[in-house]
Amino acid sequence: MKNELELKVQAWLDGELPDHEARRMGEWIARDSEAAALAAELGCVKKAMFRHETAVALGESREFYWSKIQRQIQREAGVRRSRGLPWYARLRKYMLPLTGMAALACMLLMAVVRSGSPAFDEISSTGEGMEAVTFHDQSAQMTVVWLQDNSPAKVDQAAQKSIRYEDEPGTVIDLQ
Amino acid sequence: MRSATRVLLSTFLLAAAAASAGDMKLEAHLVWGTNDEKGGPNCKPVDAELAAKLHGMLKWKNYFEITNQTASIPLNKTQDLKMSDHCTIRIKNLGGSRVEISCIGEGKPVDQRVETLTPPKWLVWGGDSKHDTAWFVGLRSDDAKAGDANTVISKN
Amino acid sequence: MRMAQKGDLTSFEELVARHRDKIYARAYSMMRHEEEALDLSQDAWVKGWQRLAQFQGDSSFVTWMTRIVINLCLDQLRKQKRQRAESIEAMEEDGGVERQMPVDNPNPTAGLERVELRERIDRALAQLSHEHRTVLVLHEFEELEYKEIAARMKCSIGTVMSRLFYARRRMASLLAGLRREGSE
Repeated sequence: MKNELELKVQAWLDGELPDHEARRMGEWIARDSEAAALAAELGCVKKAMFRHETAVALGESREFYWSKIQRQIQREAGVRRSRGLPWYARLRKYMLPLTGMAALACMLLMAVVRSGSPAFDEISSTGEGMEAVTFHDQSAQMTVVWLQDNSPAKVDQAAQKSIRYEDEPGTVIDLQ
Repeated sequence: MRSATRVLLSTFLLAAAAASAGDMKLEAHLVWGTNDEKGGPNCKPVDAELAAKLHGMLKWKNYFEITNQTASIPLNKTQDLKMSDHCTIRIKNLGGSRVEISCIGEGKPVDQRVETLTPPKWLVWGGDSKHDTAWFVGLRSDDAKAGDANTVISKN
Repeated sequence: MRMAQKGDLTSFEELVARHRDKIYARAYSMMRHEEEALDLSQDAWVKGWQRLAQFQGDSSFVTWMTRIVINLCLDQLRKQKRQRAESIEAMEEDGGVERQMPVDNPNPTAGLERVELRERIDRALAQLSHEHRTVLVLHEFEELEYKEIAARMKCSIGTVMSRLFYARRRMASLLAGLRREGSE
């Protein structure tokens, strides 16, 4: 059977032929044993695959999977906002938060001096080139801070490092 | 004279007790997360409680402890815990179960934060390592053992 | 959904939690690589968040998200394709031996239990090239028409038809082969 005809048998099976052509093709397949066998085989595979996709589940916990998405959303939101701003607007973007933070720090300092106990819990900062994503699990009473070193030098270096456990006893872990 | 000595000694012991009451006992664990069945030669599986928490949040099949350190840090004092040649945790006791903690990698601070570490809360830092494994440093307050500090002081 | 469209990230996180397995599964079926599928599924969620205002409700949310992850997978496959030898590509486009063989067994899946069938389909899919697997996944699992598949894969309808034909005949051969192995 010519390839063109084989593809038409398939198109007939998939309902992709116009009505009049589909009718003619159906009549021919009913008469021709080779075409009928081909249609049967293709139809069998089609039917077998229909709703027989293996379900695959993510192994990662909800929080862990979400943390990377959240981080990327926040990072891209920051990039989008600063793009297209004139230089003085970009500068103001950094100055205003600094001013705000200074005011907040003063307020908090006053709160500490007055009450003698801290009014806040977590303050954090990360090193240059590092990113930290924090997530809490209340039921497990655990906070995980996931660190990623995004500085270009470290990305290159990391490609050359290896865990040395299998080779050297009494060892270290490579902190990237 | 004797009563004066007794007063002085009591004052000293009271002050020492007061100081130790402000001390914070902490334990830190360096952990390796992997899907391999075996850890390295100096690794042992982490304790069941920590393993359960890590499994609940993270994706690796197995967690092995590389080292652990304990510290008793007086109020407003700082102490370093060297977890490996590349990783040190610097802890300052701010009082009221609050600590200022720095994770220092290769001599540079990679993350600093202020946390309240009331037992049984864990603070865990983590990051990627090679071959889809990860390192973790887990830290928690161990105030249940605070009585030991008083015993040590009274011996002194 | 409405809360998420108004910018509530917590509501969006709820949508992610509800549908993440389906989106990851689609990425995995196309890429057959866990890490790549994980990254692409997460990229899809980020894109979904950025375009959420454009979601009109013409299709279900999960269908809309599936389209996004499929497009990302196709982009990634196109990048990888540039690194593969042209001669192998040409051979695959011609369809190889299976396309030309007479039909040996019109019913290669007869007698297979549902679970076993799923597993064998999965194993057979893993043996196809990216292009042939993609066209099968898009047609059989996503139920897209030829012209939609052609638009997404950036090829002609004729190419879609050829690839689909080859992929189905190869699947028939693999499923029959796996069934023979199982009975030995």
